[in-house]
Amino acid sequence: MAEIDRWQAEDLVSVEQADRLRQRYAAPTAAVPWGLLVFASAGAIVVGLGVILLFAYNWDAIPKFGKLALVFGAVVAAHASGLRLLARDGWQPRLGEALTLLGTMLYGAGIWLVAQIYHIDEHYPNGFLFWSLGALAMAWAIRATANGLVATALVVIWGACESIDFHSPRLAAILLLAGGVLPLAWRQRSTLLLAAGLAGMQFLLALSVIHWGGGPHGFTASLAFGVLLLAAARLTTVHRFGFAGGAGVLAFFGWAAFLVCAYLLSFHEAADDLLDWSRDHGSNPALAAAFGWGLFAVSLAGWAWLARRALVRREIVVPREDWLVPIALVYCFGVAALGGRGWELLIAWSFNLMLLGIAAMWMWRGCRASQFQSTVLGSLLLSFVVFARYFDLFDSLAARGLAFIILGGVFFAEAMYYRKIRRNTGGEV
Amino acid sequence: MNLKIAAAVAVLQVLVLGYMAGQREWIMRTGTPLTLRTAPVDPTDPMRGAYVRLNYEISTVPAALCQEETAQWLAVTDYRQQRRLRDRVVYAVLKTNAHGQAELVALQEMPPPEGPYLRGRVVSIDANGIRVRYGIEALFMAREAAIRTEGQALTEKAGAPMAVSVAVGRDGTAVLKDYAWEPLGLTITLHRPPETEPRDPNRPWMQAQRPINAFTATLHNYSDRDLAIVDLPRGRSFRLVPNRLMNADRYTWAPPHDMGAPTPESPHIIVLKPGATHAIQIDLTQPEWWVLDTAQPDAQPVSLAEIRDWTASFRLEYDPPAAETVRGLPHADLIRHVPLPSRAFSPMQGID
Repeated sequence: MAEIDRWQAEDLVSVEQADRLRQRYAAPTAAVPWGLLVFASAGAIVVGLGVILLFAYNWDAIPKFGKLALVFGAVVAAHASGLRLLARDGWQPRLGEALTLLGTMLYGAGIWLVAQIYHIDEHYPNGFLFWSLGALAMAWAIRATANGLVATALVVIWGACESIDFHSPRLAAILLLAGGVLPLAWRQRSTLLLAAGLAGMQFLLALSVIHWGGGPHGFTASLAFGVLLLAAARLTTVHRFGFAGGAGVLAFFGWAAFLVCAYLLSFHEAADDLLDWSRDHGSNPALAAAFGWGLFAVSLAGWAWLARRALVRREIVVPREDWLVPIALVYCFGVAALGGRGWELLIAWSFNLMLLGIAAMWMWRGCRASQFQSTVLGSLLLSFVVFARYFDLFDSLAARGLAFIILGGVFFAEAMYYRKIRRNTGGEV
Repeated sequence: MNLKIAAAVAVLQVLVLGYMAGQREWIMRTGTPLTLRTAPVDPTDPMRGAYVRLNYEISTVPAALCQEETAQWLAVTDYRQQRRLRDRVVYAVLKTNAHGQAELVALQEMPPPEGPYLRGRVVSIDANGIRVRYGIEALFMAREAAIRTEGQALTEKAGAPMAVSVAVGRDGTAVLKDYAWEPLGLTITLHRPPETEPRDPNRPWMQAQRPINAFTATLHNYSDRDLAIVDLPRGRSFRLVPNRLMNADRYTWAPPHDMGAPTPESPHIIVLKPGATHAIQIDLTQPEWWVLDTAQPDAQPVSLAEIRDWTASFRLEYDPPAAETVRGLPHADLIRHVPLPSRAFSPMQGID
């Protein structure tokens, strides 16, 4: 529109022509002032952290009630002005959102300041818990992503402190993310908040289950969680739910968890240990097992539903390589449940073949559909597998050399095939 | 977006802060006042700034004072089970002694029906006892003041405990109100026999083990007024106290049975001017300073110089005679009758 105005001013077009040009384009809707939102939110967080540090200096000159008045006044002022702006129109609600975020940061600062004033040295993770609850409640009240992100970070800090410093993992931390943050992310259609929530859940889940049942339980639970996310991603793609970005985020975290687990299992030195639940008991193996099997059951239920839609009713299409994911899950839980030792070569070979299959399918599908992302991801996965085997499978230099020649040949053939398909479909080469 | 709910959340945040401050303020004004003894050490908290870490005498609970469920915890040796016990809520039953200081009577899992008690959480457990924190272990202050306080603990107030005033609420929650250095400090210097055996020429840095055979105990008057101390012959104003944190009650002080307490006389009472010190030599090879290893059947008391156990640990405690024993003697009114422990020491390793 500004361009048309300039043309009109320079007499390149007449007034009538300018009007007709304007009518061809829809009137711009009021855009979300992302710059204002991002910078104001960042400012609120930084100011909040600054206030915490400032209070931490613990000025002797300010009397106790002076400090209390400062912190109470700051929280009230930030929230009051934030709520006032939220009630207005235009760009002001965005600034209001940032001010409520500042209020939440000041609330957190207040928790530590009151603890400082009264020399409270109790169970310090509780400070993060109450702070996160305040942030999460505010995030829901005003549907604010920034408050949600702060709440996510605080829940993760709380859970990590309980697990690492007090050896007491909190199931409630995972549930808070699952029940408090993820639904908000979904409601707000916020891929950023969804990504943060899933990353936090994955981290806390691994940390907690390792504490409860040891490394192997943590490993299988993480694998089951990844498989569950992939089922959720596929369901989201099928049903759309009006949140297109959500499927991508779910798939990213699902594939990341699954591929990391599969990659580790492709090393025969690690395969046995990672699936040996009898090794390295934690503080509550029964809870770890319940968690792992619970995720396993939900994941399989999700994939069973997909199978029904895709294989029985033929309503949807699921890429063939995706079926390797639930199969791998059943395989891993089966081996772990049987407590079989000495199967490391079988497991490692299975997962090598599985990874190669996925890589080959991604490369082939990527080339066929001229999808650069799939092609590159498949190639990267193939490279990772070949490089991993450089160290443990190919003993001789001749075998290593041959492997690289074959890998290079595959890439070369892939490049030519990709070029050919792109040319045939009229895309850029 | 619902602004009313948002306003309610904001009010809730303020109420949380208000509850935190209000509860502490209420306890400070209405709680049972107690005085606890500590020795300070350092660090900094990233969220709350500089503070002095307070280590209370009641923070280390010897096995003998663990009651009910807490006594059974001492038998737990599996580290996973010990981990589970960490952070469990416990109650320290206290009584105020004749010197106005709170003393630990028992540690139990349930709060007692009455009497002053502190609510704490388990830090660690071993066979010798339980370490407990009561939520009053941090004394927050400006960084400069914290550094100054730490420095005082090592120099200007060396060997003086800190007396911390707390108020205790009905549920055992303690709030730290104030602190002050005690007026009298006790420092010790350990002496070892001279090195007699020649060192290995191939390893000249290696010394033969030489356990301590004597002390110099120095009493310091850190107050701004005169204080009197009692220096009984042969160091008899002092006693050896086993450090239960290190070795429970394995080593006990075993002076001869016929060693009666000497009666204080005028020359034994020494007035210390503000800033003055008084040093007392103690020969640990004398029978009145021998100790008994209770873990050895038919063991006889031995000198500290003969102990080769690295875990053996003790404190020297200045234990002045009771007020009635010195009544009528000159400057008796200046005598402070509160026992004063030194820092812990090991015959093999030195001062902790």
